[in-house]
Amino acid sequence: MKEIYKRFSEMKMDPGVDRVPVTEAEKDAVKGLRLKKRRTHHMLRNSFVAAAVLSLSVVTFGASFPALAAQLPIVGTVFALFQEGGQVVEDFGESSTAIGMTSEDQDVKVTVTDAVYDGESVAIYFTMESERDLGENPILDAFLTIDEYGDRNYMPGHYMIEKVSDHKYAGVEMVYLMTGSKPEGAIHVKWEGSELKVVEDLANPIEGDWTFAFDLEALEAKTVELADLTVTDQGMTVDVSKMTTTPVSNTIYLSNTVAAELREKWDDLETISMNFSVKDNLGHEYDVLQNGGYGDQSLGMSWRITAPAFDPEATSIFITPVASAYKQGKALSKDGMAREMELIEEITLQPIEVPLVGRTE
Amino acid sequence: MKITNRNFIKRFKKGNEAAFEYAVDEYIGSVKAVVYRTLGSYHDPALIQECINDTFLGAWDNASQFDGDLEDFRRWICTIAKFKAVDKQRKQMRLHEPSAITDVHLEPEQSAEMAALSQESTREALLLLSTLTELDRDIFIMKYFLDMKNEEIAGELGLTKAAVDNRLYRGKKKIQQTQIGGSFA
Repeated sequence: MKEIYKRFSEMKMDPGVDRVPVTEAEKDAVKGLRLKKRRTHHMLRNSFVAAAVLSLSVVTFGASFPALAAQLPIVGTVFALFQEGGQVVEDFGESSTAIGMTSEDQDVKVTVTDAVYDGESVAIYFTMESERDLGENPILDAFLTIDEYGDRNYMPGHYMIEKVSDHKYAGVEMVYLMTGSKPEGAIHVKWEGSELKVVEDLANPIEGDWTFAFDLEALEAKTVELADLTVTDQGMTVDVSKMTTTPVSNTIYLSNTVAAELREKWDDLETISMNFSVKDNLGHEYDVLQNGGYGDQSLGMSWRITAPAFDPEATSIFITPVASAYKQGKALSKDGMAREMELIEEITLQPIEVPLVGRTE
Repeated sequence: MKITNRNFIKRFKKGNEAAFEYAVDEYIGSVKAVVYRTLGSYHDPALIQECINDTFLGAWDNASQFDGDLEDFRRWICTIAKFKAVDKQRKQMRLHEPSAITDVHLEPEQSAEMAALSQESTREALLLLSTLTELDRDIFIMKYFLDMKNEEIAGELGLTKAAVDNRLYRGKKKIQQTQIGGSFA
């Protein structure tokens, strides 16, 4: 469909209109939209991401960077090491590809050290060095594109960065390939940083160009289609449809549907957030990284989560869905951009047992 | 760095936030005019604002598809505005149809163009578009996506109205021949 935008550009049609007056409020509404969109991309932490519902960004999670980093299945250990030794760990194991590319602009040196493509998401590990004061958690505003993956597909993500020494930071950007078919084999990745935001001084972003292009080989992955794994509880139905397993991670596809009586009950519903916890039949609990979701909030959404590799002795896992329904509250959010969300009701569903038989074949 | 008319397009295409704000300041008046012309009769300021929002986000998300100078940009974003407004207008019409939505949608949240695509006739249009010559493709885009009259299309492309009628007619026939059915009425 992007072709039509290209065609529109080539047509150069004269709209034949004169400008009409526009109020500042109207302008601000459009500009604010952009801000919210950005935050949906970068700032949503730890829970749901909905593609089109921009107002979601007002739900605050307050997850600190290290806490979130520790939850990341693939990078958890790496970040633990960051925090202990203040050293950037070079050895990510055989699952990642060493990149070692550096790009320097505006006296800020960014080096992509490693990257992983597990068939479902791309993780880019990088360091940032500068004599400039970049605060505690500088945000590199970078866009990731994958040649082999259509740009109409939906790619939410997580970004984390930690200060490891006076002038050095280590970070990771994870991007989830949510919709459409995922490329197999090698992918061509382009990571284009255009702006650096110092959290302590958001009004003065540093514009620059930190661009990287490299190839990644997909990890060996196995996908199992799952049938009849559904739980319905208090009007909420959750279905587990698919699981992709690589040597370092498990990506699980789920969906939820909302019964009509719930929609009636929650007549001022603004959004429904789904969280999933995962443990195995031996009692181990696993960190879960919410990849986000898409669909229609009030009817049903598709979701994806990532968990680390399961214990080899485990024969099944239990996924417990928790649905939280929010309405728009009265209080303004801290930044004054929108209203805070207020919890209406939280439903914890019965766990869904997912057998792991045959996964090691 | 400050956004000026010299660096605006380059920065907009790179996804620069200040360039987005610049685009809003510079072009919202024209965009609103285009939107208003199509949707003004609904007397619904929220609908118009929503359409303006969609236009700027559409331009933003597809910035890489744009090529040209400042005047070209104005034309481009106004064409997008028309496209979005026509789409909104169709949705408004559909709202008054007595078909209740009962099934659950688990597809990605639809953008304006995807929603249009899900309509059968638009699928046909796209199918056709992929097989047509550049000229015929433009005619169909203008007719279908921009809701232009045959006279207007003729004027835009330097053709006679009869030539446009004829090409549209042949296009429709082509659909029937390929057993897809439907019409572009």
